[in-house]
Amino acid sequence: MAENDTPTLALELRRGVIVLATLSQLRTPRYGYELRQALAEGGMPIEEGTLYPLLRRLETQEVLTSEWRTNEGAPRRYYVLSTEGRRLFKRLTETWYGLNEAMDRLLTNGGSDGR
Amino acid sequence: MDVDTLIDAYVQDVAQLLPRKQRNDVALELRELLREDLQSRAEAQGRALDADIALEGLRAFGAPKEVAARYFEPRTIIPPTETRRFLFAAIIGIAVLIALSPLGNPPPQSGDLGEAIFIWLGVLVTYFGLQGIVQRRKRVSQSWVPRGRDNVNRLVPISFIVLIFVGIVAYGAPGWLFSQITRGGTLSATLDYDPAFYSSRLPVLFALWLCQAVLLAVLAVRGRWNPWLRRVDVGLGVAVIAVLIWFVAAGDIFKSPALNKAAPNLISAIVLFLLIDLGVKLYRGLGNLPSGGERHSLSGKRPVGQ
Repeated sequence: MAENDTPTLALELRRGVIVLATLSQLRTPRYGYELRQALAEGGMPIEEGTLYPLLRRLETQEVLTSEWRTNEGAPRRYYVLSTEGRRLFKRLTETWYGLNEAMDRLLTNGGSDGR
Repeated sequence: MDVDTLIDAYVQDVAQLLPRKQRNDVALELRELLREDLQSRAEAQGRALDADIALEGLRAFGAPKEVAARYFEPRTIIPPTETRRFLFAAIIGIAVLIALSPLGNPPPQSGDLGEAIFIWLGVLVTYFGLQGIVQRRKRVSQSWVPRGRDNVNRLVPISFIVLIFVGIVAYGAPGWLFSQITRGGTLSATLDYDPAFYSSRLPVLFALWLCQAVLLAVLAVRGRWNPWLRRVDVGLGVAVIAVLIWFVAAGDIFKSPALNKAAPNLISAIVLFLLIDLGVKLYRGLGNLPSGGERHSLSGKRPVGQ
């Protein structure tokens, strides 16, 4: 049972950090494909079908701002953190470090077979 | 199909599911992004971008409905926490409609039954949908308030006792009540009961209502439900439903043939309502979690320090 659930649980675990990973790469303006490449190079590949709608949702929530640029050939929509987005990014980063420390402690000292 | 046609078809399928104001903007962006993604996929395979790679890539991107849904905050008509209640109400309602359909006068056709089931489902979807909207608003503005599951607002059982006595007078002596209300008026003779019904069957219902009034009086005094009161309540509920079905099956209720045609349908609707109420009571009763004290007595253990 747990064996069968592993991919889903791992996916959910990963899903929790997608927003933070995305925000981390939008301190400077990037367009969707470029952002996806940057995330993949950083070890966090995200499916395009997940990432592109996420950018729009974050923009709707006023976490990101965007603008069309056509100076490099094809028209591309560039996203960057808004003022609110920068504040959110800071808060989520602190939460992430807190969680990371807590999980380190729990995984190291958690049980008899803790590794 | 060539690559551009495939991309256009895919983008169109996604965009038409989006709100109008977003549609063109998202379509333009998605088209360009997909082109770059598919190009990169082809390069990774060491091939030129062709229709096969494009189709494979677009399928990997996700079904248009799923992709379009990701552009929104998820919204559901029936909140996930209400799904079980919705299914329960739907199944009970459909079962009751099917069970009661032979009692209809005249018996309904199969199309009528289907229509009734769809109406019932429509009512449920509307009810749970509205409840979902109210809950979403409450979640923002209100915090949780603890309430005792067994506690009773005493005004409620008292109101029901009054209602029962008004019902007994209204059904037992409608002519007298009408003359009191209208200061001497006479009720139409078409509303006269069948003598056999009035003398032998109707009093059984009144006796049950009086029992329910006693139960409600006990509840009003105690101010709380307990397991015994709940059992008596369910037992009386079952008895009232059985008596109403007996009314429909046993013969004439009124002297007027026209009213005798209409009455079974009205009583069937009341039985449907009572059955749903009974189902909800049983469901809640079965779903009751044991209280702290009950848990300890079940396990035979007490928490440390007691």
